[in-house]
Amino acid sequence: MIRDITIGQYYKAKSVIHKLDPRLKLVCTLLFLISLFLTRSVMTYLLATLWLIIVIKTSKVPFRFVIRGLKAIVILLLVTALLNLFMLKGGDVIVRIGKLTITESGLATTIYLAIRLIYLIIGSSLMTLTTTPTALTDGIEALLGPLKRIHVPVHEIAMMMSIALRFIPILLEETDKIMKAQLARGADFENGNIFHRVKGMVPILVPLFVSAFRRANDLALAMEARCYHGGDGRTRMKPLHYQKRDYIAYAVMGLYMVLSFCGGRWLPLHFWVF
Amino acid sequence: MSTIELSHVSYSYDKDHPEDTTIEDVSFTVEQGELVGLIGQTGSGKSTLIQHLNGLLKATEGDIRYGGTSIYTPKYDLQGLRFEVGLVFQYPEYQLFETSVIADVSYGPKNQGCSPEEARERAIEALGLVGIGEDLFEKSPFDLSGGQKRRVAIAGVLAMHPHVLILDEPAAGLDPEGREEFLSQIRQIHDRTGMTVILVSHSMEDVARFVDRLLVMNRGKLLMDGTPREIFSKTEEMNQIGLFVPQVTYLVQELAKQGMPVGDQTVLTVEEAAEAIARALK
Repeated sequence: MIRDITIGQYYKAKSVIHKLDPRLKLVCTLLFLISLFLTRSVMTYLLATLWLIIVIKTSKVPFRFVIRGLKAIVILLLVTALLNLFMLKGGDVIVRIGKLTITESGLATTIYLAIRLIYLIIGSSLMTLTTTPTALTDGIEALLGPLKRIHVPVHEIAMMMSIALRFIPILLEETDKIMKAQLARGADFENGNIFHRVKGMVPILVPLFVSAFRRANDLALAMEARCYHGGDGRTRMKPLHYQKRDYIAYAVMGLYMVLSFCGGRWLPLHFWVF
Repeated sequence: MSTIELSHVSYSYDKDHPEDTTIEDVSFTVEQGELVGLIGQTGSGKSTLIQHLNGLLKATEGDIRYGGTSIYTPKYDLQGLRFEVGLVFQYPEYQLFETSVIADVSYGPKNQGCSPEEARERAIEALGLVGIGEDLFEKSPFDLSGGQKRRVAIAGVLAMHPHVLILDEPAAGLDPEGREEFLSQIRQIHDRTGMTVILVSHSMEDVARFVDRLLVMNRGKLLMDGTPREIFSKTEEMNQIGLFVPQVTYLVQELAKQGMPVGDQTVLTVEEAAEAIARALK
């Protein structure tokens, strides 16, 4: 039943991208997203396309996994694209359908918007596909480290994130068990009106919550028994260390940013001449 | 009649990888009123197998017939089957959810369409069977002790008046005394109600004395089917699949090897062993 659902979309493979430091991947993803919004030039987007192709190739993640993230935003993408297409006025009118008109700037904005959104999703998917959730939380904790100075509980936030991630499969399995147990007692989750169905969830939710609290209690006790006392002075079993490849990756990323920005500025090949 | 017949049942979790099947070509028949033990090591497929018997899992191959009708015939009433074949999962205490013990036990009968009064009556009867006193009826199930919770959960299935009762590791996590008491209580319930009972366990010591027939599973296959005595005489074979016969059986076998005339009957309990040794010493 529930066993089929997979959470987190990490794709296991052996590639340089997978091995890179999670901090680097977080920073680079952020930079890539910024680069998409810096300029409106064909050069920038050509470069971004080339960049994505190279990263996907080296990451060894199959293309269909990369674009899977797009499914979730198809509707959002269509609605915003259509709104932009018909609502934005500027430049010459290209097409006229009754009262609706498509203008030059409307069309251009729509194209930019679609490309930006799609690349944005692909770019961030690539990060989550090549980084384990644990590495990701470690990376976030390290990057947000400076915020500790202003008393942001960075370690606690990261710890909560990793515990939550760790518990997702456990709780799913638990839900599966409880559902089966209640089915064995004649529960019916599929038929009846909405009220009937919501009421039918009670026999699942109550035991699930009880068990979640029990597990939380056990875990807290186990952590305290191992002298866990928060992040202060805590050392790691696998501390994050930048390797040579990470510095190279940073350099490549820097080069990409410069090219993207300069290319967009000095070679302003727009789709249309505005 | 509530005979359960399995013929060539196979099941694999992943349809794309039929090579790692969890159940492989299992066939057996359990007649009405039998008390059967299903044993096997952890991961041998016991729990997966029993979920087929009330239609929670669908066999990828093979057929299961209940009372002569295949449960895989189109539009078969699976919910109805679940009332007839009561399945108590491992650690059933974690499925309790109601505000009072009696309301929780009434959940099954209510799903069956019983009136509130009838559901309550059945609940009281079932709680009596498992030995939960009236003083606990209105308590919250979450305030009970572990053993009491488990009894209440089993009562929740018994209250549906199933013809077949399947218990997955009913004694897991109980102390030795509790196990003993609990299992003999299940035997009593079986004797009193004439229900078919299938007891699933990984511990031979637990089930051996309470059942009339043993089914032994290993790696998803049914390895042996016979009386406990027949099966325990094959000590070596059992050891090979990581199942151990009761210690007293080993002891008497060892004594026989050393030349003590303890007879050639396989001994199952301490009492039988004592008798056999006494006879030999006379």
